[in-house]
Amino acid sequence: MTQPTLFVTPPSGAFKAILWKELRENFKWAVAGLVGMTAWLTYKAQFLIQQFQSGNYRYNGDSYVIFEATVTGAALAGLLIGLAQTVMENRGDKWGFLAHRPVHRSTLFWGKAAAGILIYLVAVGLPVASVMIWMGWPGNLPLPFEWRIALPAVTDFLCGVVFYFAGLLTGMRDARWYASRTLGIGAAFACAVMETTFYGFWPAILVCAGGILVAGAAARGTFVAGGQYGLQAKASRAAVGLSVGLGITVAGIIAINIPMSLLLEPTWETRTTEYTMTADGTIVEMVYENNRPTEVKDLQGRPLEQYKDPATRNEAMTLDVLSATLSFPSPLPNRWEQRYRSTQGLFTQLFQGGHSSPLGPTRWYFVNRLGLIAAYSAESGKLIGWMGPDGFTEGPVMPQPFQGTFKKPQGFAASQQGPILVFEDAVYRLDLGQQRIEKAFQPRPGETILAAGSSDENPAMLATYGEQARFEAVSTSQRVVVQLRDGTRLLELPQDGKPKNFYAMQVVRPMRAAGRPIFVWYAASGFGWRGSAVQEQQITEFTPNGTIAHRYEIPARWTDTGAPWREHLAESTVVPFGAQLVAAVVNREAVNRMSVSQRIVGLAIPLLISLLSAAAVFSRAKAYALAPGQQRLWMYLAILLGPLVFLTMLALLDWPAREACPACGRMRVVTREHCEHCNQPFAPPTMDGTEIFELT
Amino acid sequence: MSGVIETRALTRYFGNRKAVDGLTMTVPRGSVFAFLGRNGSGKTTTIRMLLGLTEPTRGSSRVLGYDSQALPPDARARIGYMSESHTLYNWLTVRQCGEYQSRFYPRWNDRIFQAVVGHFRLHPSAKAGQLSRGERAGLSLAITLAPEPELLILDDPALGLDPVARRSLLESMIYVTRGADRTIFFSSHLLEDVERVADYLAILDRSVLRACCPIETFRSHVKQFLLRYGGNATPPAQLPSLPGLLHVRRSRAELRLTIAGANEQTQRLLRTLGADAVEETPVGFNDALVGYLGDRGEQGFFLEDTTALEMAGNKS
Amino acid sequence: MALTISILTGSNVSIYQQIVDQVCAAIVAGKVAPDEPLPSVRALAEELLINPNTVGRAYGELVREGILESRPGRGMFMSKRRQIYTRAERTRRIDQAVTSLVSQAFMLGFSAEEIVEEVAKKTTELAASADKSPNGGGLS
Repeated sequence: MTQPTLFVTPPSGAFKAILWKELRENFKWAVAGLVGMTAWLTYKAQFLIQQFQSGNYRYNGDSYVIFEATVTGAALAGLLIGLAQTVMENRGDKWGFLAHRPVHRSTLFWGKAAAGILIYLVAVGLPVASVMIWMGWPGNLPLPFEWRIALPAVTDFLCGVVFYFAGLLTGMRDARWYASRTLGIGAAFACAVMETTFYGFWPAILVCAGGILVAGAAARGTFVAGGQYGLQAKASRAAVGLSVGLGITVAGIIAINIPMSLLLEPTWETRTTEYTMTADGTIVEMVYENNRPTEVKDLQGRPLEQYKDPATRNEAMTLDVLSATLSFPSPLPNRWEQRYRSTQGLFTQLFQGGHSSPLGPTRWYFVNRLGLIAAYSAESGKLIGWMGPDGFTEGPVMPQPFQGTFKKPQGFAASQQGPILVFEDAVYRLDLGQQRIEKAFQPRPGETILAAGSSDENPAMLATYGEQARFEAVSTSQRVVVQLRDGTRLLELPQDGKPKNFYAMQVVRPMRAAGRPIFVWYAASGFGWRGSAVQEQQITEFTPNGTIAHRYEIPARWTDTGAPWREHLAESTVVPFGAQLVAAVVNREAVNRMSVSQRIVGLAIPLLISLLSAAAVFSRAKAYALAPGQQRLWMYLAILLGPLVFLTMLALLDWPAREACPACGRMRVVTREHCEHCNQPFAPPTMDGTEIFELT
Repeated sequence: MSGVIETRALTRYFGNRKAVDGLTMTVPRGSVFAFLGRNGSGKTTTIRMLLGLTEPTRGSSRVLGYDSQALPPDARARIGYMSESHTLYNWLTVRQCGEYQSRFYPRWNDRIFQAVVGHFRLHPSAKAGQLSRGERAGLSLAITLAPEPELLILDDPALGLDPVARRSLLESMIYVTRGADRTIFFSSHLLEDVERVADYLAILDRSVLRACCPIETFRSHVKQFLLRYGGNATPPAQLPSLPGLLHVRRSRAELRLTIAGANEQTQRLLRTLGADAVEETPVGFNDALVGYLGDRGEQGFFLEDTTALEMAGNKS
Repeated sequence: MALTISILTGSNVSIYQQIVDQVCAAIVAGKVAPDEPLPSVRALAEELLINPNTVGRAYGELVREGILESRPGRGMFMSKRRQIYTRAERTRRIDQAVTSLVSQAFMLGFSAEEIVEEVAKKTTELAASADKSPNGGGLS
């Protein structure tokens, strides 16, 4: 069907009439959706409240459970609304009643779409907006809410619109098997995956906008053509093809994962190695099998007799070993934390006393934008007050904020925060329970602080060792300082630059060891993907008066020798040739780790599979008399993307019947007047002598 | 020769099965054209292709001078279509149905709408879903006629209607013929109504067009011959191939043959069958059409020879 | 006007032929007079619920045979002149009717004398009623 333009001005009554009819007909879905979404979001909101009120929940800022409901609910609602608008009217007399009207099919489509979006707005937009407002309303959640936290709702909402158009497409599309009808949802699904994993908000918006364009074009083209693929304009066909192709890819990934996960056992070893300090000040290597310690060896690899017995391989081994951990954040901004779906870049929850003790009635957050610590009542959700460098003030008025850059604790250090708050210009000690703050360390002029940490507050240790049990360590641009809480300097070392190469430093004091040495222990980053890896570690042992007693170096160890063959073969079979080429170019280092035979096999197998797919595609295209341009296009796609192109072609195109040609005897498609082999037309239906033809 | 509807080798497959095979016909302007055929012979499929609601596998059709697959809105405004199921939106009232439809058509004669609605005694505020079958047909007819279309395409319009509603439908069709340029193309199984109202007919037999002619031509082409066998003579067990043979009914002393397009040659052939008398008997339109549409050849619903049964009964 | 036409569907006789026959029968029975107006094509079609073209054909044939005449602007009327058939045509028609009558009577078992007697009786009867009718009968 040829439509002259995308939008044609209809008689003014027609568009409004269609819009009204669609709204009236599908209003019930708006109500159903509104009720369903509201119920679901309310349930999640309750959950959220419980989480924040409970004293055991440490909020890591990654994502809120609410957004699980928004993305799934929006997707489901959009899809169902789209299906509801098409499935009843797509064929037969109902289609006739809709389509036989003096309006362009395009106008009918836009009327439906406008109505559908309005219904979607009510069913999804209203509840989601309400929940976001509820979240931000002071007193509902003990949280320093900023409007940026609601951004995922916007992208999820838009993603649902993609599902809406996918629903329209699915309802309209001619497809021989029920399963292949649902493939149109592929583009929407891919869109959802991308928008929930993308880091940036605007890229996610772009993806959704792109999804809306593709799914919208596919839906419109299919609607105007009455369901058939072949009659649509090039752009529409490309959009439908992309949707179906993505659907097959998604289905393929899911389908492949099942046998793959059975076939390939995880190749990372269940055997891991860790280095730790024993009570008497020895550095030992602990080997874990399935997360249980099995061996204890010294640095030369000799198993240690006294720890052979499992009974002794427990906490008694590390009795009274105290440590303070410092982490050195990477100089680059942490994109993971800055993701729009995360609040890690907005505020950091502060807690004291280790990660298993309950939190108490107040929730404390350092708010980046304000440079202050906010205190909220877990019970009532209201703001209690603010903590600045000068102390805590109750009430909404904000005191002087912290000036320097906040040094956020990283990784495992975050769970061992202790009472320390680190800024580039000072280190503070917090007592959240008492709502007190004091300065722990003031750098010299020109000196910046890199990291700081303190030992845990442990009443048993305090009782046994008194003030010696509370110590802190600070690493600055000039020096490393270890001091007791009361200010007594234990160690002061010049900065040797290790923070550039190591991501964490620990100050370890085995209190029972003879001479009470102090260990300064650096660990490097980089765990191997396959096999077990041991980080590079550099440890310096100091005597209590600051002289170096010993240096230890543990080099990094990789047991990774490159991809094992079974996995390599599986990957070669499954990933299409085109993708392999791109991966090989982008990820040279992985290629370099492979042996030559692996590299050859890694390209030969996908190439072979692609060529086979291309052959299958080409032979079918030829047998069904596709235009030569089409034959070539599908063939090139098959070479790049492999068997999924063949499947897409099968699911996408309208495959006509074939009959034996009455003239030449070969199979010919029934859609062409003239045989593609011998150019003879179809024979007219056979007469039986009873015909009466006459027109006067 | 340009008709209001023209098809050229129009063909439609569903999977491997041909629903419409090489249909070539012309519907003259101003005619009342009956489209006949048994259930499942392809009539509804043809109508859907004519209206561009389904795409043909092969071939083409033109309606009002436009390709069916690209009917512009002004052409659609001049074509009224009523489907077999009298589709309506059930939640609209009778009045709302009229208002809704009227917003699409540049020319809407509300008097006609009201007249048909009144004729079928429809309550303006009754919901379409609550109407009876005949009432739905009336409402469907009202919205089809109100735009005063040049071409009316009706797919089995009287399906399921009671006699009163059928009569009203017939009256509407006659009313439409007041416009000299207005054409009606309809399919039906009610042969009495077809006989009353149609000028032309086309017959679709298992996806193939077998007849397309004025109704009188059809009547004059289908003849029935009675061959009487007296005394000991019996009708031959095997008949020679007779061109145009539609139907044979035999009993002990008679052969009744229905033949399409019988000519001199046929008469001569019949005389060779050894009957005492060959008599041409008049055929009603109903019988002619049923004979034409039924299976060709020697068939009958009654499997055994009726006279044989009677003889057996007499003996007991 | 005493002309009533009704048609049967499904009959062996086509509808237009039924109309023609009924108009002729009405003339024979003296139910219509010359110059009497007939319903228009459309009016008759709508009354009988048939296609106006069929009525048109019937009227057309009747006009060709001189039984009806169309007066422009005023409609269809019974023609004044009744006799347009040639002698030979009239003879052929009456011969056909008589043959049918006599052979049927023989089949019913009547004798020749009985048939002639019956015919004479009927002729006298019909002539008398034609005299009585205001239209003066169809025999002139």
